[in-house]
Formats: sequence, C-alpha cells, structure tokens
Amino acid sequence: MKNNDTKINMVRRIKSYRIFFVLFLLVSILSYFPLDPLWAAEAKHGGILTFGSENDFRGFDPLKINALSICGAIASSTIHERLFDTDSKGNLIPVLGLSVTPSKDGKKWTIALRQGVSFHDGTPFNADAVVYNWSRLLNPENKFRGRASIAPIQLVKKIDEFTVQFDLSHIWLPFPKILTDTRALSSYMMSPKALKEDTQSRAPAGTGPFMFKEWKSGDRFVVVKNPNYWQKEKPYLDKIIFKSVPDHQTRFASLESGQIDVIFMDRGHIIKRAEGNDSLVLYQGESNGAEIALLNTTKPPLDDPRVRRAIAHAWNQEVYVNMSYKNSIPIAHHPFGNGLSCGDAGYRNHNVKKAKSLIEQYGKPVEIECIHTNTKRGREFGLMLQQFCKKIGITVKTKGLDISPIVKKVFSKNYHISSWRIPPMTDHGPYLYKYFYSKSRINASGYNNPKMDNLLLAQQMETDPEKRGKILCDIAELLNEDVPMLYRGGRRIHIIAKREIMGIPEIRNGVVDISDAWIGK
Amino acid sequence: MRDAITTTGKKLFRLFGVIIAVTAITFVLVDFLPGNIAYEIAGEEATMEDVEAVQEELGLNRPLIIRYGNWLADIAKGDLGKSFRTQEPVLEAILSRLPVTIELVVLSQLFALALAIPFGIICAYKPRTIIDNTLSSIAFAMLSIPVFVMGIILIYIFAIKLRWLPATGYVPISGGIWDNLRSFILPALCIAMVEWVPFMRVLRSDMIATLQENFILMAKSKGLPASHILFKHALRPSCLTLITILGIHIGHLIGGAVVVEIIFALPGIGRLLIGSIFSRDFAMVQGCILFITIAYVSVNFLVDHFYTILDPRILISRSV
Repeated sequence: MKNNDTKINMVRRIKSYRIFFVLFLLVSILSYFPLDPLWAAEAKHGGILTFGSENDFRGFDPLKINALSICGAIASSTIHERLFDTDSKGNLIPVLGLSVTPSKDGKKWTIALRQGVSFHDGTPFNADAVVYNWSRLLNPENKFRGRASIAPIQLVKKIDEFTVQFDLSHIWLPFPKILTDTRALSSYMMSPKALKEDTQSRAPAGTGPFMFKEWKSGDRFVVVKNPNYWQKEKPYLDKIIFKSVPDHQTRFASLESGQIDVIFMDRGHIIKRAEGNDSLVLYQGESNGAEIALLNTTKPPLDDPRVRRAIAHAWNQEVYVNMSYKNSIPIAHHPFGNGLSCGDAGYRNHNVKKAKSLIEQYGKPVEIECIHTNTKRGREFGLMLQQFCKKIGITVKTKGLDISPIVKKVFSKNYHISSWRIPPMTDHGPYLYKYFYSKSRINASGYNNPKMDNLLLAQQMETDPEKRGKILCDIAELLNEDVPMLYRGGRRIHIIAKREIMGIPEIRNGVVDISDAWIGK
Repeated sequence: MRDAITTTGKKLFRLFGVIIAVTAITFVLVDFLPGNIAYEIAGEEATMEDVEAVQEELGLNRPLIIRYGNWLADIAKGDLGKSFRTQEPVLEAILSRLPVTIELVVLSQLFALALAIPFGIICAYKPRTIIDNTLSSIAFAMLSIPVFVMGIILIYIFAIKLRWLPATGYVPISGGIWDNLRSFILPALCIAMVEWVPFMRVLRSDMIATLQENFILMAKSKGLPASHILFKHALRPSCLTLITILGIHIGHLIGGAVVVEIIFALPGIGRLLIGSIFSRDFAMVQGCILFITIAYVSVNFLVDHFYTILDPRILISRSV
C-alpha cells in the first residue's frame, strides 16, 4: 500500500516537473526570440509605399494582354478583385463571389455575388457586370487569346441581380479555381464602363482597395486609396507607387538606400545578400509551374525517344539551378509544385553512363541546335546544356535570340530545343492539354502518345479530386518517360521588403497581394 | 543676307533628305530583324491563325513599301500611331520621356564641360609638365571605366554609403526643383565622368596650337595677364573642335544614354527605344528613330551656325 502511494506521489511529482520543464522550455524559447514590437503592433493607416518592379506593365485589358507578369499581377491585385481567392491549401475564399454551387450534372455552376460593391468609376458591381466581363471573353469575334484555358465555359448568364450561372460544355472539376487565377487578367472583374469606352488597358478600373491615379510609362504606375472600398477598415496605405527599375542591382541598391520599400527579386546572389541584411525581410513562396526546355519531338534526331532520354540523363538540373540561380529556386520533377504529391514522378536523374548507352543504341552522330533567350540566364542554359551533352557525344549549337523570334520558331516547330516555361496556374490540366495533347493546335513539341491523350482527356472529365490528382501525376510521369521537355528548375517567388513594412501576406499562386500592407513606423 | 537664306534653305533641304533616308533605312532594317511582335501579342496559347489575325490587325502583312508610305502619310498628319505592345500613343510616349532625356543630356554635358574646360586650359598652359601628365593619366583612367561600372560605384558611394543622393527615382520638375536635380545628379555625373575626357583632350591640343598664334604673342607682348589671355583670347578660337564633338555627343546621348537610363531607372528615350526594338514594336521604334534623327540633325545644324559666332573669321572666309 505504502509502495503504491510512493509510486503515485512519484508519478505526480514527475508530472509537475514535466509541466515546469515545458514552461521553462517555452520561456527560454520566447526569451531567445524576442517579439519584434512591430509584429505585435496594430495596423496603422496612412503612408506611401514604393514597390520596385522589374519591368513596366503592358496594360490591363484581357483582350489586349492575356497573361500578367508577376509585378503586373501584384499591381492588378491592388486595383481589381477576383470572384474568389484561395488559401494555401487551395480552399476557396469569397471575395466578390460569396458562394459557388455546382448543378447535379456538374455542368452548371451558380455563383452568388457580393452586394453593395461599386467599381471605381461608380458602376455598380452586379450580375450584369460579371456577365459583361465574361461574355466579352467568350465572344469568338473578340479573339480572346486565353480562350483555350477557359474552353469548357460556354455561356455566362444572369439569374438575378446578384446571381450568375456558368454553363460548361462538360464536367470540369477545376472550374472554380480558374476564377481565382492571379496571373490571368480574365479572372479579375473590371468596370464594364471602362471596357466599353476602351480605357481599361491604360486607366484600369476595378473594385479593389486602390484606384488608378497615373501611369507614366517606363517610370511609375500610381494607385491611391479607394475611400469607398467595401472592406471599411482597408486599405491602410494612402498610396502605392510601382516604380519600374529594370536593373536588379539598382533595384536592390534603391531598397538598401531607402528610395524603395519593397522589391521583386529573382537573382540568387542578391537574395542571399538580402537574407544577411537585418534591416530587410525576405518573403518567399513556392508556386507551381517550372522553367523548362521544350524538345521538338517531330524533328530528327529528337523524334527518337532514345536521343531525348539520353539528353535528359545528360542534363544536370541540380548543377544548373546552383550555378544560375544560386539555389534560390527548387528542383522540379513535375510542374505541380507543392500542390500535388507526385514524388519524383519518374524523373530522369543525371546519369552519364545511361545517357551514353542510349546514344550508343541510337548509333548515329547527334547534332542539335538549342535556342535560348539572349539574356545572361539564357546563355548559361545554352552553354551548360552544350557542356553536359558534349560528355555523351552530342554536339549542341547554341543560339541566343530575343523572345519574339523564339516564340515564332517554337510555334512553327522550327527548332530542336528551346528554353520555355510553364507559368504558375491554379490548375495545370488545361495547360498540359494544350501543350501535349496530340491534336491540340498549340502542341509546340509535336508530342504524340495515345496514352498521354487518354490521360489528358481523363483529367478533364474526372470529378473525384483524388483520382484527378493521380491522373495528373501519371501525366507528369509519362512526360518524364518520353521527355518532350527538360526541367530547368521550379518556381519560387521572392519579395524583399524593409523591416518596417508590415502586413505582407504569404505568397500564393506566384503572386503576393500588397494591398493590406502598412508601414510600421 | 539673301545668300545666307539660300545656304540655310539648302541645309534644311539636306536635313530633310537625311531624315527621310534614315527613317526608310530603319524601316527596312527593323523589318529584316528576326521575329515578329504578332507572336508576342498573340501570346503563348496562340495558333498560327491567331498570329496571322494579329498581323492583319496591325497591318504587318502588307508590303513594306505600302507600310512605309502609310507611315509617312500619317506622319504628315502628325499621327505617329500607337504602340503595338501597350496601345500607348507613340507621340505621347516620346513627349513624356523627352524632358527626362533633355535634362539628362544638358546636365551631363554641363558637368563634363565644367571638368573639361578648366583642366583642358591648365594642361594646355603647362603642356608636358607634371600637372599635364597627372591630369591626363587621371582622365584616361576615367575613360577606361565602363559607364555601368561608374554608375554602380556612384550609387554605392553616394546612395548606399553616404545616403546623400537617391540611387533611382526620377522626380519631375513639378515635384520640386531641388528634388528634380537630386534625381539627376548621379546619372548626369555618371555620363560626365567618362565624357569630359575627350572634351579635355581636344581643348588641350587646340589651345596649345592657339597659344602659338601671332595674336597671342601680341597679347603677351602687351603684358596682359595669363588668365586674361587664356580666357579672353585663346579659349574662344580653341573651342571649335570641342563644339563639334559636343554636338555629336548631344545627338548621340538623346537615344544612346540607355545604359545610364537603365541603371538609374530613368524613363528616357533610349530605354524606350531599346525596349521597343527587343519587342519588335515597329510603331514605337519608328517614332523614336524619327525623333532622334530630327534631334541629331538639328543639334548639328545649330553647331554649324555656332562656329560663326565663336570665330567670325569663318563667316568672312565663307562670304569671300
């Protein structure tokens, strides 16, 4: 009995010690990482934020410019809003849309809209506005250049003042996510008046927290606080100035010297410098998509899969990412980023022995041309591919070109290997279909595999998210098997801000929304 | 007087010919460049039909001579067209960048002359002495530094370390004269630090020759002080080559200060032109070239007339 009591006491003592130990540990950790007073502070109103952009914007009318650059999307997000946003897990967050409900057959989606919202020019946001925005894109006469991505959408119609219905040609699981795309201008709701008067491209009007003020091309794009914004407490800033600073060294120098508050950066060595600077904060977020090289599967010798596989084994993505990006982007094995768990998707690792054996099996001398952008990074890719291929006896001639001739050569299939990219998207199904379905009009690699065609069709029709994810992974695996493209690295977006700039959220879909930022001192 | 008007008229006619020739050659050269903006506008999802539709919309599928004729006809009406890429009116884009370019060119040349004239005079007055040799060595060292390196050095010292001047951030004059000047000091200095060297060398050699002339000997024999002889008598006739080079440099900088404009993020004509060439934005390229050509020939036309003001003997010899 006494022994039992002693045991119970000991257990109690151990338990109380454990509590003390945990408390001690917590206090130690908290004292080791003192809370930055700015982090604990309440959001402050007022002030001007200057954002250093890598380039000038091209415009904001989806009929004129379909895809936005990263900085263009950041600017667009301050002026325009989408029907829905997504959280880091991909769940829908209501913005201008309140709910989205599919019909039983999955071909009709009803969206309830937010009431009491107006565009910056006073036009009310309602079902008519949504129908006008979408009908303009769907009208074939307008030749909307992103129509392949929204091909299943047949019609958008008004149900009542604040309800619209999207009619689809077939079941399309990723439909709601298409409405959340940050890089496609088609996702943003724009003032019908500005669209009708053709002023939207150079003087955009949306429902967002900031209103367009002025645009001095090549210099600055200015937005000011929207006093009638539907989220009454927001925004905190009075003004955001987007300054075009194309040289990355100068952009970083301007941040360090205080002329600019936040910058976009994609240079590894500068990102490393920012990490070591206590007055700056580095925000980074991985997104899907990838830097790739397209292989023309219709042009000899790349029409032989053994040659393509040999090149894939000769290519060393790890070395390239280290040399060219200073490891500031992840290694890519598939284009889905962290959004899907496809493992290595059968990725062909660097293996010179295997590559040589495949070339031996092919039995003929291989000579190919690699076209790449005429930039430092483009040239690095060309030279590294040349060196890796040289080791297995393949001669690669490199050719640096501007973007425009590269696009022309790729579209007309007049190339062997070309630098290319898969942009970040909310759903890559439509993109992969466009580029790798044998009968697609945009099958730039000329890839033709009936198994791939079946998978691409299946992902379109699948209604179970898990099964669809599995199909997408199978597609990635088949792409690694047949090698119509090489991976040159994944995507990670970097934003560097002064420490006193607060309220910058996590980077999602390859874009950071700085609308809620505020200045801490 | 009548002769002068005829001469000026002939010159103006020649300048008009130069403008037509330059724009025609540029039109052909740009057309020969590989690539086509229609592909960029059509986007990554475009089909060949989409690209052709864009080409038709922009008039790029018409014969070159017709396009050039149409362009000239539009120019005659004062319409430079719209940027294919951004839809911005070309004239508006050029005019918005004009003040930036003019201010950069003027300030940089003033800085360059402020360095070149005193140092050139000193070197000419004391040729082949230790002062001349030292200044010449410094000048050549400056000349060997590429503009972009000079830009980065200036930003590091004056913007990051001392925090005296901004690294970037063009401020228009409407934003305050001091702020406007502050935003131009580093870029103008960056150009001037390289450009003052040829100015100084040319002035030095011309002034050494002038100082050998009889009228200078006469001035010396009168007992006039050295500063008076140098500035009042020798400087003006020694400036002819300097003015010629200055004219060429100004013309060159109007479209050629692109490296400085990129480093310091200045929205000037050079950056607009280079960006338009890369994206094959023909309308904008043609507009910029037209403007730069007019500016170039106008500056040199003025320089030609400035000779007679500097040295009236030229006017006399012409009339003889």
